[in-house]
Amino acid sequence: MASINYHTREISCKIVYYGPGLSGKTTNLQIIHKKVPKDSKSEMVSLATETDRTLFFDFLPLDLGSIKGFSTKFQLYTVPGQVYYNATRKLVLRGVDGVVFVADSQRDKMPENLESLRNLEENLREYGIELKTTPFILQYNKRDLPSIFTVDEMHAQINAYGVPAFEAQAHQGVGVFTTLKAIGKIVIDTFNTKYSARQSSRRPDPTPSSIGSIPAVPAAPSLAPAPIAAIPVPPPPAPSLQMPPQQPPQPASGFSAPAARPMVPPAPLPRQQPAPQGYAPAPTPIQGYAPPPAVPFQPPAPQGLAQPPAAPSPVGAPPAFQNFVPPPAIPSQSQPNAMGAAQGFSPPPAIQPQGFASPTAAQGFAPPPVAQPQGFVPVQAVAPQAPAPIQGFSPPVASPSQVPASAQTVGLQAALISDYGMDNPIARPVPPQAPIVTDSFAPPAQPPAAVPAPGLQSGFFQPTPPAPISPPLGTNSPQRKERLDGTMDPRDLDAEIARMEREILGQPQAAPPQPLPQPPVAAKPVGIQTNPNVNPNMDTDPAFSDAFLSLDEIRQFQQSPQDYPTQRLPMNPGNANP
Amino acid sequence: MGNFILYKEDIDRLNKVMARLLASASATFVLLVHKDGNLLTHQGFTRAFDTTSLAALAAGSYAATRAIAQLIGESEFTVLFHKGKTDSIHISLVDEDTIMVLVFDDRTNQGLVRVESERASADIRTVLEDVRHNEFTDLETATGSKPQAS
Repeated sequence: MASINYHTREISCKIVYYGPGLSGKTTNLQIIHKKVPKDSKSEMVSLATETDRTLFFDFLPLDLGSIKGFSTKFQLYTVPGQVYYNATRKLVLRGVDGVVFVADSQRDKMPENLESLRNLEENLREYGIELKTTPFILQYNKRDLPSIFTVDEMHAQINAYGVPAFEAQAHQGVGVFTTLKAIGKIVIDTFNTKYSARQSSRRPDPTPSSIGSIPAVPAAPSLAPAPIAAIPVPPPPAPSLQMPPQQPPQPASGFSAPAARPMVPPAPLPRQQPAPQGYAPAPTPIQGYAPPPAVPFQPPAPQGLAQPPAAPSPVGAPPAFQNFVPPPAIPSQSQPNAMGAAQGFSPPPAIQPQGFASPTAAQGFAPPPVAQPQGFVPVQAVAPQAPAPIQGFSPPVASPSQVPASAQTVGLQAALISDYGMDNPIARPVPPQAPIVTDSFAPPAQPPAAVPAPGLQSGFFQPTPPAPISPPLGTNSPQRKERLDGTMDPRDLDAEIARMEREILGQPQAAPPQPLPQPPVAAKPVGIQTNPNVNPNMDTDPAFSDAFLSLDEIRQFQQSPQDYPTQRLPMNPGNANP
Repeated sequence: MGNFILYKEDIDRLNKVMARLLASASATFVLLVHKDGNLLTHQGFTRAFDTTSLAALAAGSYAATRAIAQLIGESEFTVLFHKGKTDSIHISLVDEDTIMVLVFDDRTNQGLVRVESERASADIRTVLEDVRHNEFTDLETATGSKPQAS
């Protein structure tokens, strides 16, 4: 599939060298790469094994001059010829504009040639391309070896479509450029024919194919085969494809035909005359390779190939490539995934409720009512001034029915007070992995690992995120805030939790645990009312009595704030004024 | 499968999207490659690189990976990522015929590149959808710009 870039004025075509293993495809490209002037080529890329067998493909971008101000970029590919690389061959054939089949002329290699040719047809067909409608030429390689088929025999055996065929000795560079010119011309002609047809359908006077001819195939069919060894190595092609349109073949025009060609150009094929359509031999049916009946190859542009002028041309002489059937798009079921799905974004890390079940739960903060169907109490709403349990105690879980609705906003300390002092709460901590607990006397999932340290730690409020929702909701929710590197922003955590709460509130739970109705238990009066922010041992602990003001002192100084003894408080010990 | 016909307007639109992608992802350069191996357009610091070969090889690599995907029952992989010591390559599928090759170094990170390339892919896809309807114009009279519909 050629691509035309009107902006950069480039036409890109893809040409694939196909053929059985060791037939010389890579050698063709190497010779081209070696002889083409530097300014019209790039580096050749060869994906080969250590033994220089092509593994994936060889790639050689080539600049073959310009057509009407558009530079032609040919991309030459080869395929791995070995039989078991068929999957790779198929990949390389995608979007091909022209095929060169490099056949091995040795007699014992003919089965491989046929097998490869059949494989080429199969692979093209998978892309919806028919070989007979594709620019396609043959190269009979290794003509210098002994024990080879004659050209006629080769022609009879593998040139069922009667396409142009060229003899070559790729290793010496013989015939390589002839082949390249021919396929380049056919590809460009096909391109032109295709678009001329489009143009003619839109404009009253169609511009016929104005790409000039190249003398890749001699116009005069010569019965005398040229001696192969005498075929000169063509010089590098001149970087110009500009040709006078609608001219008969001129030896000096074309890709790079030297003006003074010393030798007879490559012998045309077939050599039998008359060939009514240039290259339409009557191929004898050969075993194992059934040629399609009566589809003579029609050169795409009549002036380029060796065709007698008086040759009866079929119906209005439409170039054969006008029958080019655009292959259907390769069905692709690939749907570009949404980013979240493609990334496989994992659900947010479940917030483990260790804070509620671990011994730190006894340090004076209240766990949220994990069984609350009404949602979570915001952490900020937990008032730290509520009476705290005495350290060492794990607050029991409040059953929803036991907690008055008004107590929720005040904080859970109020709920704790109700159970405070009832029994040893350590014996029944909240199981860490069970977020929904209906029984406040559930057995402990695991015993607390450590006894909380008494002292100053108690009574301080420690904010902890609420219990996780199980299972995590909204993993692929579009509202999810996602950082660019896929992690959660901690600042978004609150919003995320609120969103999850909204989801829960919005969705009626399938089977919310309905606790049995119980009469509300009145909060027991607690004997010790302690400010959680004040150390209860302040009065008795001598270590604190020096560091803190006594209540009497505080009252005294509150009445006269200007006398407040700031010097006495070690607020900044390092810079304390003596 | 028609030919791929690009006019100046298409290239400009594509380049604009790709330049924005380069800036937002802090990447080195980005290529838009047809699955056949043709380089459609590029943006960024490509002068030191053989972009033509890079495009062909990336398309080949993508094709091979696609064949692997089909072996394991997937239709194709939408993202390919090759990590190097400093420079990495992120190849992503844009539409059924086009892939995008993004080369970046360690001054950015893969997550950013991934998100931004997804975003840019959506924009490129809309442009390529218009490109499919492009008509051939005669090479001699072509100015590079899209012919005005008469």
